[in-house]
Amino acid sequence: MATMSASAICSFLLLWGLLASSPCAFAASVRPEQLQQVKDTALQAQDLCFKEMYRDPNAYALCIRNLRQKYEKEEYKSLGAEYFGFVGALSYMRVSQMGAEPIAAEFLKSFRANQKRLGLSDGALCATVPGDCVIRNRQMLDMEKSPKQQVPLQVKCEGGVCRIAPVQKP
Amino acid sequence: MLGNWNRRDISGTTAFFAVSAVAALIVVACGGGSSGSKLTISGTAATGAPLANATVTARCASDRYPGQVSGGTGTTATDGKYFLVVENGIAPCALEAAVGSIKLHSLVAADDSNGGTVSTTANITPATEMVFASLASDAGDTAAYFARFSSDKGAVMSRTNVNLALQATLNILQSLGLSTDDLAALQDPIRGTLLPKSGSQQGNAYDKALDKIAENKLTDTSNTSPVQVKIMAINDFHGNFQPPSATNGGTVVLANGASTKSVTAGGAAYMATLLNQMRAKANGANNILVGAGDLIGASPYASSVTNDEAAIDILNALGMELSAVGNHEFDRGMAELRRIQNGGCRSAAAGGIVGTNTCLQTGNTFSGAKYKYLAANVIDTATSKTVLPATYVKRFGTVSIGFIGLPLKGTPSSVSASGVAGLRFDEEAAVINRYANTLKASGVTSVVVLIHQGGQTTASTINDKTCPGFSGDIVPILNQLNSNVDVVVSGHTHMEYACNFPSTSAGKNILVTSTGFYGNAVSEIDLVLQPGKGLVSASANTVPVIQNIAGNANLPAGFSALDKDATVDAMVTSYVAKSALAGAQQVGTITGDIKRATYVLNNSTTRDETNESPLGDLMADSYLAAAPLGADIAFVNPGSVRADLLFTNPGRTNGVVTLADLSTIEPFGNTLTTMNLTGSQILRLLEQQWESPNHTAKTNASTSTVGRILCISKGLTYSYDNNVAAGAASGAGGRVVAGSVKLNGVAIDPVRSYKVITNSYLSILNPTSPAGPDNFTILSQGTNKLDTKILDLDAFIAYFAANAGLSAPVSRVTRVN
Repeated sequence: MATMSASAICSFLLLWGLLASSPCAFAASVRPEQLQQVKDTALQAQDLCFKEMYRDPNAYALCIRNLRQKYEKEEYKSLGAEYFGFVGALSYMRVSQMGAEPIAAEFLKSFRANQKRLGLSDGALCATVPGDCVIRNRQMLDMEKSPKQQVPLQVKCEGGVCRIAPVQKP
Repeated sequence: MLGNWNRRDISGTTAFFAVSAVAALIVVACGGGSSGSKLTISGTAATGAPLANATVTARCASDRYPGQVSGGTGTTATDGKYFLVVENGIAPCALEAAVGSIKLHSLVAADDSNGGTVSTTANITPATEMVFASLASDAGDTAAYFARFSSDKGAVMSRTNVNLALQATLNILQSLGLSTDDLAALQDPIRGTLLPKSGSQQGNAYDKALDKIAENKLTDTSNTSPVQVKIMAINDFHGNFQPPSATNGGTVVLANGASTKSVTAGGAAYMATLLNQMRAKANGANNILVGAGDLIGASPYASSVTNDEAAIDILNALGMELSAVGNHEFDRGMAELRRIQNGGCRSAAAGGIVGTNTCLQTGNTFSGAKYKYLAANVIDTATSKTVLPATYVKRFGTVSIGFIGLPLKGTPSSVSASGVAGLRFDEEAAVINRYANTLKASGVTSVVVLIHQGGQTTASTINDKTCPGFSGDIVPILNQLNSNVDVVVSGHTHMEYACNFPSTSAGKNILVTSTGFYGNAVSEIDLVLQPGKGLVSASANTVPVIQNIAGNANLPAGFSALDKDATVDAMVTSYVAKSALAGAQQVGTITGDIKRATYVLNNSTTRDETNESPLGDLMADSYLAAAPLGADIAFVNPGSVRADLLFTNPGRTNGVVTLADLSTIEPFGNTLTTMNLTGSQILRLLEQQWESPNHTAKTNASTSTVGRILCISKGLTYSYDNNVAAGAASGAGGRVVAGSVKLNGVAIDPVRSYKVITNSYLSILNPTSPAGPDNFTILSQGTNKLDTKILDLDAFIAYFAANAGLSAPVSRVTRVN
C-alpha cells in the first residue's frame, strides 16, 4: 500500500482546500454512476417528501432529514436527498409557502458543504433535478450571499384556521 | 323540428348523424331451435326522426356458454322499429344501431332478464347513447365499449348503475336547457314508449324531447369556424379576499432574465381588475371564471367569522361561475355546504355569530353562491346519488364545454369525520372518464375537468412553461384519463403550474393548471374549439395578481401591476369592518393569562402537547358543563387549543374576553359527543398518551419529553412516571402510576361505567384512519355514543358567560420523575 509523506499530505490538503472552495473544479472527478446516485435519490426524495410541503413544511423537512439519515453512509445519495430538500423548498418559495424559505436555507447550507467535499459542480448538481439551472443557481448564490434573518414563528390562529406565522411585535 | 344531429367524435373519426326517412324492413332474427334462453329485444331507434334501415346488433351474456357473448341482429323499419332475438342470451346486453356513419347505443340492464324466454324493450336514441356512455367508464368511446362488451358486465350494467347513469344523463340534459316536461319524457329512455314523428304520425313527448336535444346541437352545420374561449381559473382561495401575508401566499417570484424578482400579490380587489382585463381580451362573452376547490374553508378571520359568507359574496362579485368542491368545503359538513350553495342564514344556535345569526349581506340576507359547486365523485350513501351536480355545460356560440368537478377521493382523511358522514368519495379517474364519455355523447365540443387534487413542479419562478419535475397525486389520475378530456384545472397542493402533460392513457397532451393559493394568481387558459372537431389548441399562463404598490415597481417585461377595483374594494372594506365588530363582542372575563403549554425553540414559540395545558383543561371544563344531563369526565385533544388567552390586549379593558378570542382558540366547529367508558378503558386511554405512535407524534425538543397529553376536566387527577419508557405497543403502556387515577378524590373503579364527553374529532373513528384520531382508539370504542349537536365553541362561550372572572385551573396531572 502506498504511503504519503507528511509534507505530501499537507500539500494535498492545501490543494484540496483550494479546490474545494470552487466546486466546479471537481466536476470531472465525479463518476457518472455517482451522479446517477445523486439523481436517483433526489427523485426518491421528490416521490417521498414533496407532497408533504403544502400540508406541513416541517413534515417535509423531517422527511428529507430522515432520508438523508438513511443514506448517511452513502454520501452521494445523502447529497441527492438534501439537494432535493433545497430545490423542493425553493420551488414553494415561488408562491411564498410559509416555512419554505428557512427550509431551503437549511438544506442549502448542508448540501453545499457536501457538494464541495464530493466535488460536484453547480451545473452537474443542478442537472440532477429538472428546472432552469441558470435561475436556480443564481437564486442559490443570492441566498448564500445574503442569508435572510430567520423570522421567529409561532402558531397563530385567526377564526377558522391556525397556521405557523411570524411573531408579531406589539 | 327534426334537424340534423350534430357532428361528434367517435373512435377518433367523425360520425355525422343525418336523419332521413328511408324505407326499411322489419327483419326478425331467426331463432336457432336452441333449448337455452331466448331473449327477444324490440324497440325504436331514432334521433328525433326515425333511424330507418339501420342494422341493430345485440351483444348479450350467454347462459349456455358462460363467459361468452351471444349475439343477435335486426334491421329497423321506416318508423325506426326493430325486433331481434338473441338465442341463449340473457341480460345484460349492449346494443348498437348503425347506418351510414351513424352509431347509437343502448342496453338491457343486467337485472332485466333472468333466463328463459324473455321479451324486453330497448330503444336506441341519443338519450340512451348518453346513458350507455355514462357506463362506459373504461373505454374512450361508446363504439369501442360496445365492441369489447363481455359477459362480465353484469355489475357495471346493474339496474342500480343504469339508474345512476340515467340520472347523470338527465342532469346534463337539464344543464343543456331541457324543460321539466322534456326531462319527464326521458325518465326511462331505454324502456319508455317512443313514437317518432313519421309521415302523418305525430311524435310523442319522448320524440319531442329528442328534438330538443337535437336543437341544442349544431343545427347550423355550415358554421364550423373555430371559436376562441377563455377560461380563467383559481384554486385554494380559502376566503382570502384581503391581500394575504407577504410571507404566506402574498408573494410570488417572477423570472427576470437570468435572475428573479419577488412581488407582492393577491387581494380580491386587485384580482377583480385582472379578471376584467382578461375578459376584455376574450372573444366577446366567450369566457368563464372557474374554481378548483377550497375557495372557502380554513379562511382568515374576516371570512370565517361570517361562516365564509363574506368570501362567497365577493366571489360572486368576481363573477365565479362554477367550482369543484375541495376538501375544505366539507369542513362544516354537508348541510352547511348546501347552505353555502343555496343561501339562508345560519342561526345563532347552529353556530352563527354569537348572539345573532350570520347574514351580513345588505338587508341581512345571504343568497348563497351564485356559482355552481360540482361534486361528481361525492355520493350520498343513503341515496347513491351525487350530493351536488357532477357536470355543467356552457355554450359559447357554436361550441360548448362540458365541465366535470370533483374533490380528491382522500377528502375524508383530511377533514373531520363528522363533516363527511354519510358520504362516499369515489376514485377520481373512473368518475371523470364516465362523465367525459357522457358529455361527449351529448355533443359537447370539449371536456374540462375541475379537480381539487394536484401536483408539484421543481420550477423556482412562476409560469415556467417547461413544467420541470412535474409530480404528485394528480399524475396517476392524468394517466388514467381517456381521450375525451382536454383540460384539467387542478388545486389542493398550493402549487402553481401550467403544463402540457402527456397522458399515457389518453394518448395525447392534457393541459393541466394550478395557480398557487390565496388568490395570488389566476390561470388564463385559452382554447380554440371547432364545431364537429373538438379542441383545436390549448394554452395557459399563470398570471400573478400583482398589486400596484411602490414595492412592485420595475416589473420584468410581460408583467404589469394592477389597481384595485373600486366595487370589490368597497365590499372587502365593508366585510373587514363587520367582522371586526362581530369579533369584538365581549363574552366573558378572566383574572389573568390562561395559556397552553408551550416551549420556545429557535426563537419560535411552539405548542407543547407533551405537557398539561391549563387552557385545554378549562376547555374540558366547558365540555363538562355543556353535557346534557351532566357527565363525569371530559377529554380534549391538545391540538384543539390553538391560541392562548391573554389578560392584557391592546385597545380593550384588561381581562375582557371577546368572541374573536374564543373562536381563535377553538376554531374547528366540532360538536360534543357523550359516551360511556369503563374505568379500565379510561386507564387505557391515559396510557395511549405515550404508547406508540403517540410517543413520537409529539415531542418537546427543549425538554425531550414526549407524548400527547389529553386535556382533562376538573375532578379527574392522575400521576405518571416519566422514568418508564414511552413507546410501548398499544395496550402495553405502563406510565400511569397505579391507583393514581381518581375522580373527585376517589380511585377510578375499573369495572364501573363513566359518562364521558369529548369532541367529534376524537370520538368518531375515521374509516380512512383506523388508528383513530390522534391514536386514541379507546374513544372510538365507547358505548351509548350520542352526538349532542352542541358546538364546542358554543360550549366555551356559554362557560365564559356563566363564569365571570375565570383563571387558570390548578394542575390535574402530576409528573413523577
